[in-house]
This record gives sequence, structure tokens and C-alpha cells, in this order.
Amino acid sequence: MKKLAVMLLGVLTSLAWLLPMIAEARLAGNHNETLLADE
Amino acid sequence: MRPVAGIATERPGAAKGSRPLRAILRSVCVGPLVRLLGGLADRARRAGRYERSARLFHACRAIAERWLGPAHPEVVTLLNNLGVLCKYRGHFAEGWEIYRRALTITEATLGPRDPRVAVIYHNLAGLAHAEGRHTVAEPYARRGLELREQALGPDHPDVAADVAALGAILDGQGRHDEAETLYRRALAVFAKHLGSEHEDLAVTFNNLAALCQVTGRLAEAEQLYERALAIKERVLGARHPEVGVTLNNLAVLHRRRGGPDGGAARALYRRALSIFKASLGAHHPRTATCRANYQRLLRETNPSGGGVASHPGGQILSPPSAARRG
Repeated sequence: MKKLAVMLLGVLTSLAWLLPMIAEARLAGNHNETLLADE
Repeated sequence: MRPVAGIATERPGAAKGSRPLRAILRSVCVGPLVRLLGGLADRARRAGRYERSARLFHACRAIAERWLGPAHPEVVTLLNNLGVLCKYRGHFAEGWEIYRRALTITEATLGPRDPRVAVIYHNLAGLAHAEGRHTVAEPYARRGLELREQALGPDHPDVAADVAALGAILDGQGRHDEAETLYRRALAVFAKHLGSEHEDLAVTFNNLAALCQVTGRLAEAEQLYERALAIKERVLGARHPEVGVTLNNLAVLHRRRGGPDGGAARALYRRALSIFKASLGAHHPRTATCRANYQRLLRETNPSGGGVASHPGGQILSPPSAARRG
């Protein structure tokens, strides 16, 4: 039981990076990057 | 550029006429699911995994429009972020359609002076810039900058991102002095607020380097390219398409300087082409520009023509108007 709890905690901790995404949708911005053509 | 906070996630009246269970499902399950899928899609886009990002965005958009309605703020956020992806994939017509819809909804729901409207203007300008339509891009970029500067003040990294983006548009019009002033202003704000290891800093170093190269300052250009490349490789990874951009530009610089057999430029073009083909596909405008650059080098270093024929990229494509002439 204790082992299961530790495993569950590990899984939840490893998924913690998803929380900010769920909490808030974000508007992304793009970059205007220069690509040179050699002419 | 960093993302800004998204719009409020609940639409007044969204549940009007719906059964209570459906309304609960919508707020408890669908909203977080849409944000999660949209966040994963945007994460994949930032990592340069564009096909995966597109699949996630389209799945997420279908769910959001079905359950939240076509004008819901979550849908607008998705549309904006999908528009960014369209630019990077070279799907310009789809990008324009998506942004126009997002702008119409956002201006109607939040008002024409909301900072989130500024993000869409910034992105519209970026789309026109990617197409090489710099005079079309300029008014959008100026409008976005004006709105965001009013909201955040001049010393904010998001405003600096607008300044840098406008710089690239003026640079594309040949207005190098104005562009350089804007690039340097943006770099000062990025360095102050974001530190020395940030994508925005690297992109602006790349653009300033290209400007220096075009105006004949090759030593400064090389130094700036090296800084851009080092940051991009560390922050984005060695196979990211933005790394390919700087490798291509650095190759153009080496080709211009010349050498016994163009060895340095050749190696850089090969790396850039490999990245572009893997991440953008063989027919993307950036791949086409890089391939044309490489083939020019091969023709010069092997005038018999064997170099072009032996290149595995095959078909010769004309560089798009979006690419700057080095």
C-alpha cells in the first residue's frame, strides 16, 4: 500500500509540469527572423 | 516573445439553453482539456515539432468549437496560437484567415485597445513579414507596439519583442539605420529582463548580424551569429529550425568571404538543410532558400555542375521573396 502511494505520488509529481497549462491559456507571439538568400 | 496571459475562460451565457449537466461538463472538463491540449500543441510548436503541433491544435480546436462555441475566448486563444504555427509552417493563407477571425472576435469582446488585441496585431505583422510583404506588415506592427506600450510601458520585454519585430520589418524595407536602432533598443531590454540565455535575445542577435552583414560589417556579423547560434543550441536544441536559420546566414557569410573550396560554408549549409528538411519539409520557403544558397555555392566551387546534380535535395526551387538578399 505504501509502495503504491509512493508510486502514485511519483506519477503525480512527474505530471506537475502540466498544471500551468491547465490553469491558464496563453496567447503566443511569433518572431520575425531574417533568413538571408545568397544572391 | 513570451506569451501573455490568456483571456478569461468563461463566456457569459455560454451555458444558456443547455442542460445543467452539460454546463458542468463544459466548465469542469472541457475548459481544462482544451487548455491542456492547446498548451501541449504550443509546446510542440516551440520545440519545432510542427506536424505534431498541428495535429494537437486541430483536435483541440474541434473539441473547443463543438463544446464551447466558435467565439469562446478559449477558441480565440487557440486560433491565435494556430496562426503562429501557420506562419512557421509556411501556411500563410490559412494564417491570415485564422488571424482575421481571432481579431474580429477579440476586438468585439474585449475592445480595440486591449493588450491581447496587440498580440494579434504583432502576429499579423509577423505573417506578412514571413511572406516578404514588409509594407503590409508595418502598420500592423506599429499598431501592436502602440497598444502594448500604452499598456505595459516602454521597458517591458513584450514591448521590446514588438520593437524587435518592427525592426525586422523596416530592415526588410532596406531602412537599415532605423532597424538597427530598434534592434539595439530591444536587445538592451531583453538583456536587462531576460538574462543572457533567451530565444528573443538570440533571434535579435541573428537579425542584427544579418543587418551588419548586408551593410558590410562582416566581423561584427560573424560575432553576433556565433552568439545567436550558441544561445539557440542551448535553449532550443541543435535541431531546431531557428538554429537552421542562423546556420544558413553564417554559411552565406562564409561564402561571401570565400575560401579554398567553400568548405566551411558547405558544412554549415548541409547542417541547415538537414534541419529544415526534417522539421519544415522539402518544399517550405526556408528549405527552398537554403537549398538555392547551397546550390549556388556548389556551382561556384564545382563549375562543371556535378555539385548540383549530386545534391540529394533534387529539385531547384526559387528562393521566396520573403528571404533577404545577403
